[in-house]
Amino acid sequence: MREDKIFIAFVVLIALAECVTTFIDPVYGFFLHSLILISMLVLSALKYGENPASSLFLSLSLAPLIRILSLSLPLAYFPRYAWYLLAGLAVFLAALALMRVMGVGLHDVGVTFRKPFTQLAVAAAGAPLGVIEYFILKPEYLAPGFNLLELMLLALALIFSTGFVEELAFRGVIQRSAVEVLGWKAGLLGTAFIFAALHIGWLSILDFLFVFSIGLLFGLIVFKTGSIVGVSLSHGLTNVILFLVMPLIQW
Amino acid sequence: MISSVTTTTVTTVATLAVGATLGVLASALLILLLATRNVVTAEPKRPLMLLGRALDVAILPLLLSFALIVILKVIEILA
Repeated sequence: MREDKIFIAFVVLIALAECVTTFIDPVYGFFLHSLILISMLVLSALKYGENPASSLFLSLSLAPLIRILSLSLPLAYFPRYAWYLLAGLAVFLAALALMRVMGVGLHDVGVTFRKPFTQLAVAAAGAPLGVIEYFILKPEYLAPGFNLLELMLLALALIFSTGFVEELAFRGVIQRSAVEVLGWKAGLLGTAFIFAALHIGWLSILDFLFVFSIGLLFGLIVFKTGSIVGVSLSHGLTNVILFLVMPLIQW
Repeated sequence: MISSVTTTTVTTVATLAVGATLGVLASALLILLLATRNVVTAEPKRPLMLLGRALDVAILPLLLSFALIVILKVIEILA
């Protein structure tokens, strides 16, 4: 079967697995994600003669793995603000293992400060994006209290785990492989859709569309600049505004 | 972006009962992957060796999850 057909099937299956996880039963969703994960790992080994295709299937395994980890980590034992750091660390470990198997370094996946002024401008855009997303989701205040040091540590944890780690996984690893195999248009669209599909759990069609649009924009920025630094900072800043600043102001 | 993919559905499963079931399933998945890795890397064929390496991508973070579950259970029993 051709890579593009497998890619489309993967995107549909990930969306289906997220719907099952969210609307039916997380246990069934776990099974579906596990099947997708194993399929991608086996496909990557079967395509060993064609390196870009093998890398694409291997990198796609990150998407179901993210959900398997977020469901299985014993987060209920920890305060909510620690969830992001724990889940982020696990996904970071997976991304590093994947990069090692693919034989790529941090520079190859965009951890480089190319075009610094563009990166800073992209990073600053995270603030208005956070305000917009707050009015879409209206999440609860994430911090346990109002201690300034705690707030700063939590902000750093959000920037690392939701900003850097998620951008490394989606724009750095998945999009890079998808663009190489499927071309830039399909690669960007597919990656943005996978990213948006993993937000189905927020139960908001508006947020799904918002995330898909921002995923496309971030994808285009990374494609043009070759760096994930700006979008990582922007993503992190968005979540700091979304979960810490706006709920505090609105309170 | 923009909220977070990693903890999106956690709120729906953040009860200890469902969390325990998913923890058991994750441990079973880890055992399956570890056993498969041992079997496939025993054969010196390139696709099988590559599958063994690919499995590491899932095994490493699942080991972290498993270690956390075990540590928390031990603390729970000792407390």
